[in-house]
Amino acid sequence: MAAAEKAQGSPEPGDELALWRRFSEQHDAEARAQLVERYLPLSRAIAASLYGKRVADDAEFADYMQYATLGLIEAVDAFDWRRGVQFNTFATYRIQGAIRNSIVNFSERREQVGLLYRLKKERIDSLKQASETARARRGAAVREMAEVAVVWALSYLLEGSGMFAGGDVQHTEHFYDGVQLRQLRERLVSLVDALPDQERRVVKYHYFQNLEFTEIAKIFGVTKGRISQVHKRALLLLREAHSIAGGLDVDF
Amino acid sequence: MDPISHLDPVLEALRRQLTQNIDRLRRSGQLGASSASAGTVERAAGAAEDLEAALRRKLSAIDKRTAEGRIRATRAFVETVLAAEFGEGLMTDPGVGDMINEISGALREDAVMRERIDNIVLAFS
Repeated sequence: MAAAEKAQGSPEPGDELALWRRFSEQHDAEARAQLVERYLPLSRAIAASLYGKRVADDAEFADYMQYATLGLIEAVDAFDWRRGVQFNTFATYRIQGAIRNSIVNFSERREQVGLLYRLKKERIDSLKQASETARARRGAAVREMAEVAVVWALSYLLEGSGMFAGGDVQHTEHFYDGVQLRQLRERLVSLVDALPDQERRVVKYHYFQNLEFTEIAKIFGVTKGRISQVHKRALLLLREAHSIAGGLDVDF
Repeated sequence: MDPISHLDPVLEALRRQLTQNIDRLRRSGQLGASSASAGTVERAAGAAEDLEAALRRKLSAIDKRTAEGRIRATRAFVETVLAAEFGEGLMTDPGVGDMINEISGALREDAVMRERIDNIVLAFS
């Protein structure tokens, strides 16, 4: 698990203790979200490690990541910082257990299809929320529908990008992509880090960790509908970011 | 492209933060090289008119009286919008067809979206 510990990085001890105090004493959802985010590299590294040792191909890396993240969230909720145990030691076993238990139960391909279907449906519901006023005139209706198509494209491009967002696993989805699409995906993944805090986290949890909106809502202590709104706003901001940052230095 | 909103102060604050974060990523080299971002922004001003003209050119040539025709028109709409947004060059990528199929298929699977896209494409005749 050396790779996992290395990937975890070195959080500032003082900051982290303050976060644990805030979470355990005030049940502060923001502190919880920050703790989860701080240890996402650990859950990713554990997922990658177990995925590398898999004995069957029933589940994909995206599934390992999702189970790892859910295991991490459970570990954050269960951790008692007063006992003097290192969180990464405590969490490593929890995350490994969460992945193994889930993968054992993952005997049917249907579940995987179900997850991808649910993720996609959430995105569609989020993106089709339209302003009634924009439909009043044809020009506005065209622009609004064009916006839906573009943010849908951004969603499509981010889908499955978790594998190369971490830089530690070869990107294998989107088999037929050429160099232009691949570079556009990489540019968008880079631009996710430019998003404001809340939007950035929602995109990362949903697209890179494959968490459903309900699961993200639990992390932030808000409703699923609120996450759906933040998701749509994140994609609109990502569109702006792509426009502001300019095109790539590649002639398409 | 349209800005999200110039009226909502929360969104305006988020957009300022976005711009600052992009500058930070540029300075740290995480964003890689880009070409003429100012040009991209300037081009956006006339993009709405360009898009309408391009849509008229593409959609007017399609017979939309049948369901099949409206499916083709939806696909042409998505393709034209994405070309305007990301550049014509992207349309030559071998993977872009899957992306267009997915988006236009999703638009037609949802009853509300299907009605809206049909109204739009039928208006370009």
